[in-house]
Amino acid sequence: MIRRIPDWIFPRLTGAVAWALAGLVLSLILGISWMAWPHLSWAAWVGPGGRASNSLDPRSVCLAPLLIGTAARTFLMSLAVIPMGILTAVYLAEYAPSGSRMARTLRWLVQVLAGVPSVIFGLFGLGFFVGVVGGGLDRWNGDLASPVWGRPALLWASLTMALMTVPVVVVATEEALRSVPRDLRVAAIALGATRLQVLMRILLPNALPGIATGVILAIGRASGEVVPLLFTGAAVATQGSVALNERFMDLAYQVFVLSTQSPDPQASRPLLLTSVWALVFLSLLLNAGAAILRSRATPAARDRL
Amino acid sequence: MNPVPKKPIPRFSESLTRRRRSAWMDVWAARGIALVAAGVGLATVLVFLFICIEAWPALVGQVSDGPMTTAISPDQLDRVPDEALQRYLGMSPSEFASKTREQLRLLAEVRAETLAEERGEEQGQGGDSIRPTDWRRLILPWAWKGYENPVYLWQPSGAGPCFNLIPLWWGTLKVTGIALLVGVPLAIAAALYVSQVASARWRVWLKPVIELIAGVPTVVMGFLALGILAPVFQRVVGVPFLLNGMVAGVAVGVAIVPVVFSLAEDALSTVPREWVRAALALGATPWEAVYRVVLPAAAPGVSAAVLLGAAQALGETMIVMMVSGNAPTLGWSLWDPVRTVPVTLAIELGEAARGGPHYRVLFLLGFLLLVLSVVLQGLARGIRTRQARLRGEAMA
Repeated sequence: MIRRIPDWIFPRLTGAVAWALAGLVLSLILGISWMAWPHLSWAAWVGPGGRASNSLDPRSVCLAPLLIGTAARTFLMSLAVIPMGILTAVYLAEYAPSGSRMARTLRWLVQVLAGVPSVIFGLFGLGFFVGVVGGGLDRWNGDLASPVWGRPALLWASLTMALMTVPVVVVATEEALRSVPRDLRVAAIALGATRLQVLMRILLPNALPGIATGVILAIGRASGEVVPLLFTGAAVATQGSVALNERFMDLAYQVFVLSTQSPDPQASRPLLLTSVWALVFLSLLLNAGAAILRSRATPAARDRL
Repeated sequence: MNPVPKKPIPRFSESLTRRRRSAWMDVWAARGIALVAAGVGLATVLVFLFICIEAWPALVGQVSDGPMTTAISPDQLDRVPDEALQRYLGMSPSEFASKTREQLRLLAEVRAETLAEERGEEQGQGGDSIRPTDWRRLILPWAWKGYENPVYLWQPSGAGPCFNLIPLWWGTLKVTGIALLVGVPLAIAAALYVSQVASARWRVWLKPVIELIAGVPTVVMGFLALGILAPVFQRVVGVPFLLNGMVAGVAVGVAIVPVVFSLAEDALSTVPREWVRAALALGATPWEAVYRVVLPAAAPGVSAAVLLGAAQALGETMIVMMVSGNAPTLGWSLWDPVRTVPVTLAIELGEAARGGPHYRVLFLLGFLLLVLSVVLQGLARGIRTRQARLRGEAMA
């Protein structure tokens, strides 16, 4: 009888934990929506009177500039990370001689890069992009009185984020390329297609769902990440312009600032709640998009992703 | 019936040139692709190299004390190179450029006075030059001025900065430990349920929903821990500090659940069902089958999952920064405010003068953190690949 006790406990306990975790996620999403719902007026999106203001007063800040800033940095990051990630994966999967030392080293480096904590990217972004590259550009221009590039800015933040998310795209793309059926490749080569034609007409189109999954996951990871932005360019308020060498406003950064160091927590609460809501929904949308794309990938690719 | 128009047969030379052109593009595409790939590899190397180079003076204990070395007499200003003067005054290039000569002279006077003061106080301690960045001072306790006994002190700002790393690593250890104690049992229990108990119908839903936790931005996790977890803990336990290591640890524990869960579930569900059936047929109860057969078989994969979870907890910054209270304390209580290494980097890097002792020590911390998390991840990956190879051999 005593031997049977663990059998009674085990499925119930583990089941309770699993369902509690699932319930936690769902209640979190519902709870945040419920809290933010009363504040999601038109003014919360575009500011009182339909005019987006960028002043420090949290009552006049709205979601629009935050979303624009986040969109700008994510877009710039994508411009850098998509070609970098896809071409690296193409090299690893298609061009590198099999078992070459270079490919093995590169794959190892990408895996290591995936494990670097985000705060280290912040360190690197500040020290290298802002300090070395930006500072170098300024010195080259000879303009020391006011740094133009050698300060935290949108461009440096985007590049830092691109470096952080490149492993996600590389891994997803490589898997997708490898799961393209061998027959297609062999048939194309038999028909006289060159290597580039095989790549452009057969491999990339067939791997597209997998690649898109990787890109969306990268965007999802970057859009919710704040730590590297702390030193590389996020700001609580800007002049309203979006420029490569200016600081920018950011949704996730705003959530951090408003929940820890708001000058007037009561007044900033609506903006905080709507920002949290927008952030959670953004990442939910991206995750759902990735999941749908993954399910549309070829069965072989689905198993590996 | 119209005759099919005959396609002109390309002359041999024509087809040859066409092929040559495409071969030419092929070669250049291959070169470009290899170049970009090499660039990504080099960028990774650059990240490591840069952190290492910036931390190097602190690693070998040779930090130039930057603004605090030797006093520059205000009368000799013109003989000192601009860059040295700017470092001496602790200014950025733009600030420096905006000052007139007269202002600089005044600032240099003030600086010389404070330096003399610091020197005097240090001398009162019995050492003519105390370098706060020596490894001794970074690791061992030291009787700083105003302290009777040697203490572990992290106090980067102020006249006499102290950079003892022990409080920060102690805080990191506490938060990571609590996170693992909270997150790993939850994740493994859920993984056991999903892989062994749940019916296929529920499994396809449960797994993605639990993995969705990974999609919640950490700043939102921090927001919830700050707004819900911390007040609840305070009311229930009645601790003196609203924000403490326990809140941070529990929140990080929830944040690492998806990673550990996902990998542990993979490992558990690759154990062949036949083994479970065989165990049951031999008279084992379901729990015995899980405990004696499934868990040992999946142990390498599960431990790799735990290692990856530990690496994530170690590097977690946002949640900890929002709810840990951020005080570098050394107490044994889990309910004390703590400050972890990544949080220290995130908070203080903005204030540290480039190239100064504080900056160097922060990069040293970053370097140690980087090495530690890469080693943890490498171990986890090593276990996984070894396991995969063993399984491949078993199949073959």
